Amino acid sequence: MNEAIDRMRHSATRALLERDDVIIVASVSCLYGIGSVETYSAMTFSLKKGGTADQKEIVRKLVAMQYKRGDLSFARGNFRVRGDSLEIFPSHYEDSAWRISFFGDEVEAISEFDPLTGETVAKLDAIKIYANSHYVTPGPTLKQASEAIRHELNERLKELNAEGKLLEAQRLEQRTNFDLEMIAATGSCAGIENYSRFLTGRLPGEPPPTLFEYLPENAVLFIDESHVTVPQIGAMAKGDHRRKVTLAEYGFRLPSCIDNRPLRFSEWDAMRPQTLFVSATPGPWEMDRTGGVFVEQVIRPTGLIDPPVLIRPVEDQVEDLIQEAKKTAAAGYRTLVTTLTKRMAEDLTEFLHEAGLRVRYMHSDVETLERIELIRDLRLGVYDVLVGINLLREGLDIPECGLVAILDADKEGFLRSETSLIQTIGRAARNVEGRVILYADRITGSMERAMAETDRRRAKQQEYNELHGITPTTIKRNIGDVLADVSMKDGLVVDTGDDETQHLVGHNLKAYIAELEEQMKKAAADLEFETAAAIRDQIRRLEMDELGVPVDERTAPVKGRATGGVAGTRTTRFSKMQKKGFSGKRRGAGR
Amino acid sequence: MAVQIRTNLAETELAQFTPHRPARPEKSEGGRAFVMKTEYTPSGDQPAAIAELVAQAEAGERDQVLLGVTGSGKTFTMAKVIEAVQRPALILAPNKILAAQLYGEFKSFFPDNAVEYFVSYYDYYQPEAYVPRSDSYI
Repeated sequence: MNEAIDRMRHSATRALLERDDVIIVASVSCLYGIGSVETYSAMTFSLKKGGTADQKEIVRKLVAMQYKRGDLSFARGNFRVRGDSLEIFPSHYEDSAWRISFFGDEVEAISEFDPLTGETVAKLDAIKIYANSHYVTPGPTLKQASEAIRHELNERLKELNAEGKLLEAQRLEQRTNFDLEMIAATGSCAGIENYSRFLTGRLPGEPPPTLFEYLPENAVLFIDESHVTVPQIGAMAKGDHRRKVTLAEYGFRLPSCIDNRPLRFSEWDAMRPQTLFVSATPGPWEMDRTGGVFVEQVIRPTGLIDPPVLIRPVEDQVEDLIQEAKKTAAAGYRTLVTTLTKRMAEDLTEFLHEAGLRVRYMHSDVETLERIELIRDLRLGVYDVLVGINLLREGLDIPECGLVAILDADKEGFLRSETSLIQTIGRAARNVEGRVILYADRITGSMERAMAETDRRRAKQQEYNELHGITPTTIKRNIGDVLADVSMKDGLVVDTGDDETQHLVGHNLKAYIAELEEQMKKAAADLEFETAAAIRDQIRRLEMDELGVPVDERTAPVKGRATGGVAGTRTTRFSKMQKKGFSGKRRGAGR
Repeated sequence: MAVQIRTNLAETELAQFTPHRPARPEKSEGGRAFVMKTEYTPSGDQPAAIAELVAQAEAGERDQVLLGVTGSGKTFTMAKVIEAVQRPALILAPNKILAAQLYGEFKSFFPDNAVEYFVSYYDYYQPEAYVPRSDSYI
């Protein structure tokens, strides 16, 4: 579980209940259940300066709201009592907490402070505290839910025993009883979402509460890249049922776990507020909704026109790509390459690396957060070429991209459909000098339609530019750090003083350090301790440097943060990046 | 009222689905307006698109489609629409990367409003599952 994401989820639901000016950016996973609005908004309490409150009572409430008592480690979701004051680290804050000072039963002062330094940031008049879990449930409901769980367990056990499934019965009984004990003792348990129907008291078959129930009635829903998002909404519920049935059949869960599911498409459709579908290639469903009516936005404010599309033969595609990518890199731009398979992306990355290009790959098995870092590093120029499959499509904003190369463009299919091609071509449309090369031996129907659409847009854009005398300019956009962490913000600038090895940063630093370590051990074994000590110091400097104590900005090369997608590695679904092949010599993953 | 238990594993289709609309308590920090901070003004096709979308939204049109080519400032148009209608918004993106990107952009457009990010907990989704054939529980 990711701490930052959990905090932002709490912050989002809280904002929806407390403010009118809320914009929530969500992925389709928001179709999954969370705790109900009723209990979540009921399990809160407010404190006012000058009001009366019993400190013991507040502590009891906090515990019921899943806050933990943490006198020593004061982190998000903890509280601690310090004499006459109570300190709470609310679930939606990252780096500030509240201190409530009591005078007997009176709330004397409320202040917001920095938990690290203890410094008071602001004086507050009133605060409202929300639970530390979306599944927080009031005591009586919890008791009722426990009874219902026990009842369902007994019925299910009878059934399983009658069928002779003794192992399953045993497994289910053990697990459910354990969860029940946890719920009784702490008010929650691991995987409590599977009991959500008991907690919310809904009927079998009813959907669990979702973020959509938190939305106010007057909200507006925007579906970005609707041609992908809408089908995804439909797909969410489909795979889920089969998996849950298996879990229930084999005694891993009670049958009610089936009701902890994402919204079905029809339910989402009934629930959604006023909706605006946004896409460069709207899908059939949303076009059908509006009866084919749409608002068009083809002219770019920057005056940029859709990129020219070239077609080259498949035979020399890799050789040609190397030449083109080098040219693009020399011009100071980046190249995006799309292949058909993950394996091909990985192999091509290795090949391009050997041809002297700075290259990484990105596909669905590269972890999400790693992907963000990869894109950031690409934009910063840590490397010049990114090889991918279809992650290099919708909305990926890389103004530095000067070339999009689509390999095997004539292999008609999902990845080379009209929509896919238009979307991929669009990646080069952020740059004046953007170009697209399709490697194909024949022109497929999809290619033809995609190119016709691109031409239509180009014509319209050129006409507009001529009419208004506009010269296109490339978009300049800051490379924002969505998930920037503290260590990046306030790093100390220290020179490594290690001129000869500086350029390894962002490259093969780990391998180099491993080599140095060998040398150091060898020197020590040869009793040359002074040499060994010198090497040791060098290693330390390099490691410090890598840990984020940055090199002097004037001299250091741009340093990457992404560690995935390195040439000569593979990334698979259930494991981290592995080195390709079976060579015995261990080499670091590189940076 | 006792909670009804589940006695079968079938996918239950409800005869009629009525969305649950629970009552919400009073907002304690309500009444703040959306204020968009940007140095850009709409240009190209944007002014016409924004005017049309806002007019239709205020006329109560339930569904609208915006066909915006890459780089035509779709995000900017969305932000302008939100600013014009002054209503809370949920923006759905197909994946986390795009969600993160949109989040960054909206945060810079609306620095004083509550721009929030709501994605799945897990860095990559690995749900609880059991494969009977190989007897493996993940």
